[in-house]
Amino acid sequence: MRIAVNDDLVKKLESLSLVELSQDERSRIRKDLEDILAFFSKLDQLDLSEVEPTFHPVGAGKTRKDVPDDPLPVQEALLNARKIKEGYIIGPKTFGD
Amino acid sequence: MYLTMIGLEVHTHLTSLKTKLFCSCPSDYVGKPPNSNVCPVCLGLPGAIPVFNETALKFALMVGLALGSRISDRITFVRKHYFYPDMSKNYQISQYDGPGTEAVAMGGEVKLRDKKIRIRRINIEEDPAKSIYPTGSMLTSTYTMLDYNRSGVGMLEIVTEPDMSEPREAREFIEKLRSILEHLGVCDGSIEGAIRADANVSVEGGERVEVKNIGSAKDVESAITYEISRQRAAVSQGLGVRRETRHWDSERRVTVPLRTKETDEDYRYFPDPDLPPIQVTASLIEDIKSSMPELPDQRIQRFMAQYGINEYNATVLVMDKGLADFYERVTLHYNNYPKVASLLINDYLRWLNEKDMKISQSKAGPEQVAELLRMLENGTITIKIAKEFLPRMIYEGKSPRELMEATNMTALRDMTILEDIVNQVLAENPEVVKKAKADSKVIHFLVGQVMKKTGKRAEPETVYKLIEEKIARI
Repeated sequence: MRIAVNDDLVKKLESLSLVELSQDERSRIRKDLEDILAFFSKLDQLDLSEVEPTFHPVGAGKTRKDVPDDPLPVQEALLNARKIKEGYIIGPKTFGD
Repeated sequence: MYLTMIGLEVHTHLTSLKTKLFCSCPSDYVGKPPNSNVCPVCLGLPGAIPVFNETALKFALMVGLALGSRISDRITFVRKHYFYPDMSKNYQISQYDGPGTEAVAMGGEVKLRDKKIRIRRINIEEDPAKSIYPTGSMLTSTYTMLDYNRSGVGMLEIVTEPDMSEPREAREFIEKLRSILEHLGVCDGSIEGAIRADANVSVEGGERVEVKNIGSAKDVESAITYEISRQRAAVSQGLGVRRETRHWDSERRVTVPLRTKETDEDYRYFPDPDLPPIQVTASLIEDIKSSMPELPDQRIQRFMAQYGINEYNATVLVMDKGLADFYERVTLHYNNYPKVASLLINDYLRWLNEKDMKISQSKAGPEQVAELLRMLENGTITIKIAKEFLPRMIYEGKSPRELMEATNMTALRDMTILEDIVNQVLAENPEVVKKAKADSKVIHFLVGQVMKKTGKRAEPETVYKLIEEKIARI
């Protein structure tokens, strides 16, 4: 499948990643994307019609028993939080712009 | 007539799990101080490695088998990306249908009274953190307070095809599903927030609208009812219905727009490298199949055969597992089974609903209910008295015998006393007696007068017959 690298694609990636690029950065990223896709396009030369898609390189995942363990002490759990209020971690609003 | 299509995505917590889905933090997060039930895995700290809970796998397979789904031969997990404060690692561990990967269970159905609702798929996924809005509303809050205690708790997402066409069917679907989950012992639906649903609703001539995060079966019915009338009004006024996501405001009983969906959200699903696939062996499925508990449809059939009750009553009882269990405990002490069913459904439930109580909160146990029925059967009390006693048994925990002694309410069965009272009433109401001679419906008024005079202690049918006889002779 060919992916068209154009301004629309770069803008979509910006919005998905929640970043805003300058015009200059946009053209650099566009060039990078083209190079990356060109590099991976080598895979297109292989005939994979008979090959099952690989979901994961490791075959057998592990499970664990449903036995509880002590959680972290609260102070430790909150150590990396930038803003705390009454034990809650403070995050941005979630409605509107 | 507009064609209406309703599909549901039901999110159910696996409340019977002792730990979260991918870490050993306790899954019982309710009522704990904020952020006191977390570890590096469920906080989403870099480098923390999730490991899947084997009991969660068993529960998911049980639900899939109970709904008649095709079980996937391996469990795969993907990362579903979105940026939101309730998900600190910026992806939710979930499942996806795509190349080399699918949900734990595909297809299946839930039988309602008069139709079958097809299941599209059943996903295993983790719950995000809980967001608290300082103003009480996400619409007006300028920041969000986050409690990660719930983050990582095991859930199943059960997605239906858009096979429902009425709000009532959506409520019935959730009630039936809840009963199935409770019979399987994987989810206690009475825990607040244990079962939530998103509803997709579309009417003819409009786009599909998704209503997010509805908290109960009753609210699902209300939210869909609201949404259908809103959409129909828009279509009939030529405004059209655009594709969007709305939020159910359970306080104001309306849906409000969240964001306009121009296209499907791009979640950039990809295999979670931390979670290699887990094989589901045939022997595991056989083990689970052979230890499956009795399911609601089987139990309804058994109730009809074993207790001789009709399908409607059997269904009402079984739709609430707690009620069905209670019913069976009463039948151990009292053997007129249809009478037990009718008392529970017509009277007992009414008093529970009156105070929004669960059956587990009732103070009237199976023995007390059986005793009440026995006193009714041997004529110690009348049905009127039984109906007076029941709420006090449920709310105050009084036994029927105690209530009888305290209130002196016993059936008035001395016919000479009863006849005296009837004669009195007839003498006091000559005009009514005349009317009653012409119209037998009027007799009920006279019965009411006798009941009043006897403090509800007379048996209404006996009084009716007595009055009927006397009037005929006048």
